[in-house]
Amino acid sequence: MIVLGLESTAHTFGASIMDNNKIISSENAMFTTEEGGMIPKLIIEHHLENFDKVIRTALKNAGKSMKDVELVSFSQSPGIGSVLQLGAVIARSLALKNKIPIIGVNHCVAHLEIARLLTGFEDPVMLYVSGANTQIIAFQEGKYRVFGETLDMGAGNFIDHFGRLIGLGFPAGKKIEESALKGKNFVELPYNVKGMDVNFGGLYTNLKQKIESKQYNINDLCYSVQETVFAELVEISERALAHCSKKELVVAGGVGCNKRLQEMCRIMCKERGAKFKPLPAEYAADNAAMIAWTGLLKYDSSGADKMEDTIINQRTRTEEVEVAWR
Amino acid sequence: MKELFRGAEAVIYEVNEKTLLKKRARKSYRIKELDEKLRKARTKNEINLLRRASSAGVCVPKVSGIEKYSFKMDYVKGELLKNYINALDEKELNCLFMKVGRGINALHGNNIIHGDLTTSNMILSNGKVFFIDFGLGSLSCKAEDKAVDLHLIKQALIAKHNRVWRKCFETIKENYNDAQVLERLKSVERRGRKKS
Ligand SMILES: Nc1ncnc2c1ncn2[C@@H]1O[C@H](COP(=O)(O)OP(=O)(O)O)[C@@H](O)[C@H]1O
Ligand SMILES: [Mg+2]
Repeated sequence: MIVLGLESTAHTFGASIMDNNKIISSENAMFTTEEGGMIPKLIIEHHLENFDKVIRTALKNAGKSMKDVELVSFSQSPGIGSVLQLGAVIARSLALKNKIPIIGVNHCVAHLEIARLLTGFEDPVMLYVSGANTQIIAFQEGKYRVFGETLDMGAGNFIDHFGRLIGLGFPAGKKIEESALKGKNFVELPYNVKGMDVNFGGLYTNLKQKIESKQYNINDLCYSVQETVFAELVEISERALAHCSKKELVVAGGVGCNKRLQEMCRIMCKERGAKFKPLPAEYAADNAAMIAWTGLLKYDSSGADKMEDTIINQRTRTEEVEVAWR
Repeated sequence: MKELFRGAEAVIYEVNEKTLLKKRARKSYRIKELDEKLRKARTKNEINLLRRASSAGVCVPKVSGIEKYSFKMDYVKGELLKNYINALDEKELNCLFMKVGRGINALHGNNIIHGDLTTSNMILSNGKVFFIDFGLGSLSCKAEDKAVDLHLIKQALIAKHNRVWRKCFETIKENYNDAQVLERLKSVERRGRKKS
């Protein structure tokens, strides 16, 4: 079956064509800025400008046309309301115009499903770290459950906020990763882990003071921020592996592309006899292949959605999602 | 010494019939400075809180020999709650979580915040619920800190024991005396769960 997946929850608009479990194409356009953060209105403008091109390129690279598509799958929850809405409207229009079934999927669950497909892991714990989300998710009693999460902001948002303090645009993760490599001295920072939860507010305030004092080398701070934040994330992942007695770990979300974070996960898993496989960057970050794939899983187990069930939901929690395919 | 259990942070060895050694092993994924600081601080913290809890009459293992990254404690023979809950009927659950609730209430009543309240860190032994693993704990009289502690156990129940979590958490709350903390719990949850 040929599936068109559409991702539109935040900064990335993506389109992907899958032929059953084969990704044939996956395209995206990402909203970025030189300075300043994500503004929903600007993201919408960006996606409106790019969606047509992204979808056409995905079809073209797959050697398909809209006529070949047998199912349209779109990101229905959670995310920025207006951005979800735009994706839903595009998906509905394509489905109606071409008389093909439509299906809405949960973005967080989709990250986990594409990770399972690409790693071949049966039952992994997923550390999901993107801008807005920081969660430890694992399958338990028929659903994807959140074992730990941030109590305030997502790790990605924290990193971007820190980036703004040192004058970087959006997203700042990549630049901070580069600066961190030049850092030499570890600066002690607040370390806030509570069980399997984390929080970053205290760390942010502390860094703000440090930067204002001008007593610290920026590279050293980038290095110390990464070492501290990633140690927290790896620690809660390890706690989830132990608590759930699971043996496989995957890392998804934009922050999951960070090489140092991946290295730390690999070492942790090796030391406790668990398995870790990094995802290719394009499928760790927001992408449309994960939407196509999860749509297909859902379609195979419970059929298409009725048009009236394609309403978006900004806040659906991961554990509210029915997982009929597992 | 025989290795008995491997937790998330520590390895537990059997010293003898009655005594265990908990050793926080080096984690090579984090840099040495951070690793040593965390292991040292948590070991010290855990010992301190276990002693306080013990003198406050809460069921916890008694601490003996102390070192930089390890300490000895009583071997609590019993069953971890996480391996036990799913086999219980409603009445048994009620009875068990009454004990859990009273235990948490006693800890908080003495301003002891556990910091990692999950069913991996409670052992049922001779009809009593023992609390272990205080490395992430702290001393605090703040309602906020106590509420976050309650949020942890709630979240742990929802995730791991979804079929029965409501009943279990209700029972904990019924046996928890500080209304101000229960009120605070609501605002802690609003904060964590309002992500876009
Ligand atoms: N005093 C004890 N008596 C019996 N079993 C214990 C005791 N302390 C720890 N354990 C066992 O060892 C496991 C790991 O110990 P814990 O203190 O929770 O370490 P970690 O910080 O690594 O989770 C526990 O889940 C429990 O099964
Ligand atoms: Mg433990």
